[in-house]
Amino acid sequence: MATTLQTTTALLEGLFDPGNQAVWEEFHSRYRPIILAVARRLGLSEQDAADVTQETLIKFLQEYRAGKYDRNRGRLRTWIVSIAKYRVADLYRAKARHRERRGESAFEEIPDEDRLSRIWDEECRHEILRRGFEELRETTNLDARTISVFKRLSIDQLKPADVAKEQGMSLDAVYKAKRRCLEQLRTILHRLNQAYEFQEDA
Amino acid sequence: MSSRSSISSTSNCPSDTELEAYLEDLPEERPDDVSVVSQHLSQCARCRERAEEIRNDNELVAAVGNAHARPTVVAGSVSSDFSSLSIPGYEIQSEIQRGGQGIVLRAIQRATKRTVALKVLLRGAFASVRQQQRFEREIDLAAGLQHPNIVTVFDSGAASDGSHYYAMEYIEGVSLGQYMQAKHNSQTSDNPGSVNEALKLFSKICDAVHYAHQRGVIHRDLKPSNIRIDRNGEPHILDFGLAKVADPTEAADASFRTLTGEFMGTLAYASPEQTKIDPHLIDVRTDVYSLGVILYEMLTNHLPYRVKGPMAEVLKSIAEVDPEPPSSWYRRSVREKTQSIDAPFKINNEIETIVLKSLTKEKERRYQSIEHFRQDVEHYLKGEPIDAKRDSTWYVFQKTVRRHKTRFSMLILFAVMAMGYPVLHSRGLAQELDTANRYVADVIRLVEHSNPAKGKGANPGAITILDEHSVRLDTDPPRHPRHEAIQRIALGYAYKEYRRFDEAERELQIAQQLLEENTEEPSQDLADALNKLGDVYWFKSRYAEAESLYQRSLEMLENHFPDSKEAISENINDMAAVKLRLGDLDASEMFYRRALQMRRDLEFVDFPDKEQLIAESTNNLATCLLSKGKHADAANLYRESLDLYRALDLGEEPQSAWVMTGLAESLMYLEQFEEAERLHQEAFEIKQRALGRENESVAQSLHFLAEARYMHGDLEAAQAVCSEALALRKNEKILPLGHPSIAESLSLQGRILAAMEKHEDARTVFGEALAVVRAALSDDHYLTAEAEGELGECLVTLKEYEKAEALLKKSLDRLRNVLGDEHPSTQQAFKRMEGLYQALGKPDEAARYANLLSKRE
Repeated sequence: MATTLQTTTALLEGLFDPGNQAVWEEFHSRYRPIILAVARRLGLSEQDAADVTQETLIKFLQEYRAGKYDRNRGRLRTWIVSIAKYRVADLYRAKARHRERRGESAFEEIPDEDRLSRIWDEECRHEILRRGFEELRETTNLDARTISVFKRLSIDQLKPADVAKEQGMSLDAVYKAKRRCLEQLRTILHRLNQAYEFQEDA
Repeated sequence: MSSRSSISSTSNCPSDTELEAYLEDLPEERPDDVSVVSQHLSQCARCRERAEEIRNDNELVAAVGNAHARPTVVAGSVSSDFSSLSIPGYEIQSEIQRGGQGIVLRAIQRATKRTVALKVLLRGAFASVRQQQRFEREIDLAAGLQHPNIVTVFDSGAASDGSHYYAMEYIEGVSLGQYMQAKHNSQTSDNPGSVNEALKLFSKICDAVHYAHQRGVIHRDLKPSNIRIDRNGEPHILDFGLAKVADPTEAADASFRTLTGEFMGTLAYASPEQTKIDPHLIDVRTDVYSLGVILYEMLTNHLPYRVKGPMAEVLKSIAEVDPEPPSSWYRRSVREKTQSIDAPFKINNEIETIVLKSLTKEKERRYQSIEHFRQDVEHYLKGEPIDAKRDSTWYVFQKTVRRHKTRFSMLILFAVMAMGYPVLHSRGLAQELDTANRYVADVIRLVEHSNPAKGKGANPGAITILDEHSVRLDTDPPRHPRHEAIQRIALGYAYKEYRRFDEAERELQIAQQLLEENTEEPSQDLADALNKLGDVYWFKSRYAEAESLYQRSLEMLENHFPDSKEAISENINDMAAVKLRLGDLDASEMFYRRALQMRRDLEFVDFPDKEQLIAESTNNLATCLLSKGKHADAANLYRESLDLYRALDLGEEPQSAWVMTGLAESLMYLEQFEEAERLHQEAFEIKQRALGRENESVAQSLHFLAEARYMHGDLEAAQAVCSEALALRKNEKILPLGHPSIAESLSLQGRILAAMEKHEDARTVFGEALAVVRAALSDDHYLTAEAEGELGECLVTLKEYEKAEALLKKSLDRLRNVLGDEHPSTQQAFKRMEGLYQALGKPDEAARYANLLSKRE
């Protein structure tokens, strides 16, 4: 795990240097899950989504290094989304050929930018939450039991009373564990939001 | 209930744990003493703040959970054995239905002994407290609906396992789906009684939905399984406002998450706006759409489009694919002898129009309320005219062009089109129409994105695709003539845009014949074909034929389709243009002013490109005034048009360059040469950049630049530039042979040569110019008269007085007639007569013409 989180802007600057593998790795690990999730949401199979994601990231790096991305002219999201959109389009087109032979509708359309951007934002938020939780689990000084309570409450969506019973602790202790975790999680999320430069459209 | 004063001091503030428990528990589960907390909250601001923090905490906890959930996971589950379930106050008897949202049970309400239906939602149905509150609010609203055709909700609460339920009237009977299936199977399909019976039932359903709308409740999930038909055949609608609130995931987003069979069933009735993520798009017209799908299914026993296959495709169908015409199902079943299985009703044109209007993708074009929808159904039942108007191909054109303003991937389009469309013969009529419409839409997109006339860069492959399709239509035409016609219209349009006028003419003539031979009625399709054929004749310089076609198209639209405002304004504009070419300048001005007014009156909501249309009309009117010699008025209008284009950020586009050219020409007449030349230069650069060099528009600018040099007296340069313009205009790839614009440049060339004292050469060129206009326009066109004047003047210089006099006299008569004495061209003709008689040594005659010159001179 990267100890210091660079902002996306800083990562983009670093990307110009082909020798800086670490920057690319961080960029990759930051955006791959998001693109992958967006592709899945578009109805692609796991394999297809993974392919599209890989192609998108490679295309991105090529075009970025060729100087095709001007930060002043649009958000990173918009650009990546548009690259991904064409990758997905290629895939649809290839599939359309098969469908045509089977006599089904061959015409396929990709969701509009607006919808894609919303999906992107949601998945970006999800990714930040997942990464935040991961960091909470790995780097805080909270004891394993506290973390485990929080996991049962959030990821497993159990009721506090059930968690208390399961862990053999008082309801009060469950609520306390929740609050302590959330306090730290909020700090982490704040930092991640800044690093991702994530802001949702109104 | 405790009194207000029972908790007043902060020492009574609940502990964190108490508060947490209070916020987490469902209201029904709260023991009596906890309601003390709610009393306290209403009075203690600090605790309200604490409560808010806890709610925020819980939302973040839920968000972390959601972020980890796999997108296809459905939250919660219903215990498979309802007998383990107990609901206070009710005795459960049997399970009625089970689905993705929960189960419906039949029960007896102990207090009243009546039979009720209980809908028990999934555990964990609510992701947040807020969602649960919303659900409770909706229950309150639904409980307020009292209508004989709406199932009354009278109670709600929590079951023993914590899941939510609500109680409603129990209707003995069947779902609308089952009810109609039985009808389709038992009645003869072509019995009009079946259709009317279905429509009457539908009208009652509408009435109930309208009642709810008036009380601010939108159903959002109307479908046959939500409508029960009792033993008397009366409809009862279930789940008002509840279905989507109770959905474990947000309404629209659910489409990506829950791919269960039941959800797909629901999806078939979802409106295009419901496939978008923004819930604010949903309003009463959403229910109009769903009812449209229901009516469609009631009549045809089919859904309007495919709802099988991957989710992305289904969503796309809902948002994009036009429904199969409902009437096609009956025809198909007769042909394929599947009546006994499919049993669609035979329905006529009017019902089809009503159904299709309710199923329009853009909600602005649907019935704007259920009441309108119901009234049109009633109109039909009473034999009255219906309000709905059917879409025309013209509309399909406009719609497609608008919908795809955003850049499309040409690659995809080419790939799809190059694969070709399936042979139509083997398909049903409905699919045939679908294919035809799709083809039309694709052709328009193809042209929009690779239009040489609009500077998109020619695509040699495009012509091949068009040719192949044309051959396919010849060898294996669709069975329905209209389906062939609309494809021919699209092909004709595309060929025209690619400057293949002969091919365009052929396609459009066939389309016209097909439409005229197969129906007596006027149609928007026919009007469209006539107009587009008019365009082709226009480009072929056959103006009289173009005029009569435009006129027929215009009359048809005005008399039968007065609402098709954009098409009418287009036709008026075309009439104006053709009148201008035919030399009837007054009529032209009148039409241009009408077109401009109509476009100003368009509603912005329906016509987002209204401003652009106004800019275009303003430019056209200016051009007409320029021809009428009203140079200052023309210049003002040109400036207005240019300002509009610039405001629309189109200042660097070819259309702005065209305006600049007109403005510059006006300024030349107004003797503001400097600005004029600057504008010509700018226009030339824009055009060349946007359109490439091989283009009439570029030739025109070169022509005017030559004219500007000529005015400066820079004759060598003028001649060189004019030759360039002429070479382009004589290129058949750019202008058809004998086009009047060729004469324009020949005439300038003649004047330049005359100024260089090369009179013999000038005579040849003027003669050529005259021959061109005479052939392209007519012998008594004012442009012919002007060409005669120029040749006449040249002949005077060459001392061939006899021929000169004949030409100049004829020219003058015509110009006085058409343009009036004050027009600059007529004034010029007076001067020529004066010159002629001076050269002939007849000073009296010369003086007579000199006296006719305007005082301004």
